[in-house]
Amino acid sequence: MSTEDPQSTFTQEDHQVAFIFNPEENEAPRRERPSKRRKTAKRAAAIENEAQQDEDSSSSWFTPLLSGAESMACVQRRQRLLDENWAVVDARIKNILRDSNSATLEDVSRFVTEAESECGDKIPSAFIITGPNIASQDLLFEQLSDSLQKTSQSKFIRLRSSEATNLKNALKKIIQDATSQTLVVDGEEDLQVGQGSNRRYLPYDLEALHEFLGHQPHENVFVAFQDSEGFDSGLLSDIITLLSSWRPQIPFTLLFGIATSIDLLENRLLKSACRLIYGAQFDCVQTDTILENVFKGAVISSDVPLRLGPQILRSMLDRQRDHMAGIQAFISSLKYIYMCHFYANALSVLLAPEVEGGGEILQAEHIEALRHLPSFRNEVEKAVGLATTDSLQHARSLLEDDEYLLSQAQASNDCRQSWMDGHLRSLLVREAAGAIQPPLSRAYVDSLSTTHPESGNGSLTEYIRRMSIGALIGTLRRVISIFKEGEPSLHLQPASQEEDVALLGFLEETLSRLEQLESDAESAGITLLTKYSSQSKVMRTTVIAQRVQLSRDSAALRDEDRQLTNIVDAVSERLTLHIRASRPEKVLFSETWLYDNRSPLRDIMVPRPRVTFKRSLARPYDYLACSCCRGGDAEDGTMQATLPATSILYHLYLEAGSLINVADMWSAFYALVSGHKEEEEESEEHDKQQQQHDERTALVMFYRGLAELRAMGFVKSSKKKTDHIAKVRWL
Amino acid sequence: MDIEIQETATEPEPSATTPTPRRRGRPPKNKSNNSTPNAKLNVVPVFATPTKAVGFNPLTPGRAADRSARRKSARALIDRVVGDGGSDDDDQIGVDITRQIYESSDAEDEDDGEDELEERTDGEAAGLAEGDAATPSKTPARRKGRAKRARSPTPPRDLPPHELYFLHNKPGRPKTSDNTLASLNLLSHDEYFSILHDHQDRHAENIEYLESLHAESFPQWAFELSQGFSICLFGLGSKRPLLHKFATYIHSSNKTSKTAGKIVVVNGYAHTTNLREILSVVASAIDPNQRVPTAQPAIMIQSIASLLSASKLTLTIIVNSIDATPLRKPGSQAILAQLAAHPQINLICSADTPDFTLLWDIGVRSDFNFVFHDCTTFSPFKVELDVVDDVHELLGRQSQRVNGREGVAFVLKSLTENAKNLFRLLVGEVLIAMEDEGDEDVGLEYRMVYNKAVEEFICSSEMAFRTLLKEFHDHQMLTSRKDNLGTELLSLPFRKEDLEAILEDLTA
Repeated sequence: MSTEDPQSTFTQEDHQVAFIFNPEENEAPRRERPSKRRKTAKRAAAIENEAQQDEDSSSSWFTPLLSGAESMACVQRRQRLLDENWAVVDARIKNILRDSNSATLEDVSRFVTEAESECGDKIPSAFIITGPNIASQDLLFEQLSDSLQKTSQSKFIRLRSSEATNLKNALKKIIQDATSQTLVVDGEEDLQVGQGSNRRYLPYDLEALHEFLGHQPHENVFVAFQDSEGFDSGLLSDIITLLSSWRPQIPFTLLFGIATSIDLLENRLLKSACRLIYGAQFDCVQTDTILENVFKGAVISSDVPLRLGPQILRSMLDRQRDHMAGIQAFISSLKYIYMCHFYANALSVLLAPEVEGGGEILQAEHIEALRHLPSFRNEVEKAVGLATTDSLQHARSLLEDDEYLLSQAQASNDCRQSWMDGHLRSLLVREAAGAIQPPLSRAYVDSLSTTHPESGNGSLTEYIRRMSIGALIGTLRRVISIFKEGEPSLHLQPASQEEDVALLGFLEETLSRLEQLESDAESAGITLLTKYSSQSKVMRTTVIAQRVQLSRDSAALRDEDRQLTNIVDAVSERLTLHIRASRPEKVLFSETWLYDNRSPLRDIMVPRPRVTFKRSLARPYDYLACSCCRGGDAEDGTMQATLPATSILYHLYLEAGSLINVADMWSAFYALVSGHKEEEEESEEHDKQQQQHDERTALVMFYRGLAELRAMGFVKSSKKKTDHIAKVRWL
Repeated sequence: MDIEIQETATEPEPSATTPTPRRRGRPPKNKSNNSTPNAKLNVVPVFATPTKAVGFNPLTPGRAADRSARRKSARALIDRVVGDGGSDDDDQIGVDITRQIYESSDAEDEDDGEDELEERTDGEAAGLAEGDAATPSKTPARRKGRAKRARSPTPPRDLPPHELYFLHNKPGRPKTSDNTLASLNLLSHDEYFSILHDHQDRHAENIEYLESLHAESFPQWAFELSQGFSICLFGLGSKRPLLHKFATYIHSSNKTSKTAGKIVVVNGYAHTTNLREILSVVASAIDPNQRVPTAQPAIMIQSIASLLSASKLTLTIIVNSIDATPLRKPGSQAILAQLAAHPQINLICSADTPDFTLLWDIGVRSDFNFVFHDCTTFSPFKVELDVVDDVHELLGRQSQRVNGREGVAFVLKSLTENAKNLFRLLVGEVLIAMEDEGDEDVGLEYRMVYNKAVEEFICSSEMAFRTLLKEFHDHQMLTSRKDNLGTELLSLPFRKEDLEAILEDLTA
């Protein structure tokens, strides 16, 4: 562990594998008694007033913003807001995840109870297809363990491929988990079960488990292979054979988590092992569906105060699709966005829904910052553009009156809520009319960034006109329920604003008229048409002189048809007028509740190390900001001798082919470095010794650069020629 | 040359027109027109006639013309460079135009590669089909022209990496010089460190400034850690000093806020790094009085987790070089991830290679819950790398230190007389073989060495011989391999000069 290097520059800790960091003690504190006593004493003291400390410690990481002028109260408030808001979202996501697996859980427990009587002498096994996202398997098996142990008196053992490398280890793990005993100190590898018996068992002897279970009534012992693909196939066959042979004594049931398919698993197992299995297959809810649900609950949902902009949402969704990042990655990205917003945006204090002391807490800097927002500017410009007395007054007050500005800022929460509800309603109405494609997440993102056409192809009018009367009635009912009752899955409240109520009245009236019309038509035995429906146009085919002529005729519309057409026109007009969507960033002070910054998240969640390394090697001055290296254009291939050695070698490396002669590399390196030196000290006389020293120094740098290139995996040794190395990386 | 140019110029034709006697007569006529490279350019529009374009490539008639223009201009450029020494100024303008054409179609040409290929095979097929009708000289002439084009330009700049890979890995002997480092006196450890000690890096100040920039985000990192994320720092240069500073920062803030927190530093680059040791240090940091038994890491981690959950401690684990060789086994990353997933453990690590993300699959990655920060520091890897040994190993001279001349002498000192004799025999035989073959990399036939050893009464049975050899194997003084016929070959991993020195020592 200690180093052989005599150099005093190295401390012992540098080459230690691991140590406890404690800068106050110069000695390595690992095996020393006094330090430990002091530590424990300190900790005992610390526990006394822990509640207070917890808060202190967590709040201390928030730094005051607004060039440090932010008051502590605001900083703490941001922190509190983050905690509160994220807690709500997090709890919701957890619920969604739990619910999403509930169907599978039920199926599996039903299978287990039924299999008990049906399996005969075979071993019941549930094959659960989890899909390729092994990150979410953990959650599933945790839930399985909970639900199965709840329904019956049983033991649940989870095996992972990394833990069970061979049969002995797997059995040890099974017995340990089942008997919930930690391993006895190594050396005494046997274990004793129960108080009464004196027999000692080897830790991988299933007899021990049998003995242990004999004392307690157990229906089942579940053994779950979480990542069945990761297990060695021979090992799996062995375990299955062994456990099934013990089944008369110990009621084993197997669970397999499968990422690919059952067929693949079956092919890997021995035929004899397969024959012992009485199995059933269960399909989990796929990631897409879960993602959609999480997205609805945590992003779209109307009561989530922090809204996300289209850019960032799109990049998150793209990452899910392109990188198969898994639902956990989505959740942690979401959390990171929350952290970014409250950590770095001083105006996020305004997000608080309550107003208590809200006014006092704000400082002059906040007001200054508010006046610099793009949305503020937009609002003022709009008001001035309107040029009515009221709007001009509004603009003037915004610019000059701090009180007025504050009251507007306080109201920004209401603005957000009304904008949000309006936006969601319009989205739902479009969905009801069939104007958006199924994944609601994508549609939501699109609706934030693009405005829908008001007429023509893709517009709401177009879709409404296409409907038959039955579909139109259905749509209207849905729209009315959206306005009247809200949408529980999105936590959308019933609409209460004046124009909403007016629209609702109109829609209800229209609906009753439509129903009347329909029942009339039904009794009269006619099908109702509008002038837009395709049936009203009759295609006429005439054959004249062996050529086919197509012509269209509008069938005559009945009176009822005309009524229906009028209704369709009215509905589409009203709805289109009502649901005009507005961009979120245009809402006044939207910056306090809208986050749409793509860059930090992308860099932090999806790093691009190759690009980073390439840049730092090719153009170190980008990072070092030194004047000496930038001089020549490195892109032109001329190198500065002042570059770090690794960088120079990297440039030489780029020029070389797949095999590099180190001798040539060294001479090129030395020529570059020494040439530069001579330029510098031209007048001075170089005596032989100095030159010799320079060469050795250059060699040291050369060594260092080469070692670093090797450590980074750019080169490896080659046996093809002496003193040659092979290039292994083409960045 | 002229014929050749003619060929490329008329290349699109075969697929477009039917071979008629008239056509056969045409090329010579053109040839007489285009006697100088400059004049050739003027012929280009001929191919823009609609009928031919449609027949050949209906979508992009213009491009086809461009391409042949480009080909011609390329050739003209080469002509100019290779052909004429006595140059002329009036040609200059023409050359400029040629160059322009060549360069303008350059960009287009890249994504056009496929089209071009098709076109060529088209042309070729047509050429074959009408082989009888066409002049016999046609095909060879074209081949020659194409070969010339492939060979002539210097390797193009700014190729994408994958293209560069194939360019560099073309079959055939690599073209490097035969220079070796024989004349250079390689560095020893002492020299390396003494020079390094006096050396002043000209960028020291910049590096320090860069580090201070990174240090400014310490509160942010601490915040991210406290929110349950792990942090991974990547980028060029050693991040050890930076992480050391961060440890100090966490330590001092732990003290001021009186939180129960401890910090464990793990050096992934240390050669002896293994999981058991890391875990036992972690366990002792949680509770020094309770010893967690050393066992399988998977089992240890369970007891650590239960120990930690029972206490109020926040543990910060700092891993230097998480992608270093000792930690690269998939199992160890999974264990570290399990550690990091514990809510009371914060993990921050540094990664030094550009490929570190390949270490983690989706499960491990979601356990780690990483955020990544670009922390390019440019600091030298003072501790992480054993520079001298690494370079020597890279150059295939790993025996320099550990098993060098002194090492061999040291090992032999502790062995029996017979073993010494055997090694002397081996060294002598290898040297003789080197003399004979003039090659550094020689192997001795096992059977031959055994017979000699028996002759010299070094050993009496093959068993004893094997035992002696095993001793050498254990000290890496001997390597054995099998050749193509399955004969076992023994060789010594030393250079000739070393062997001579060893032999001197042994006989002295």
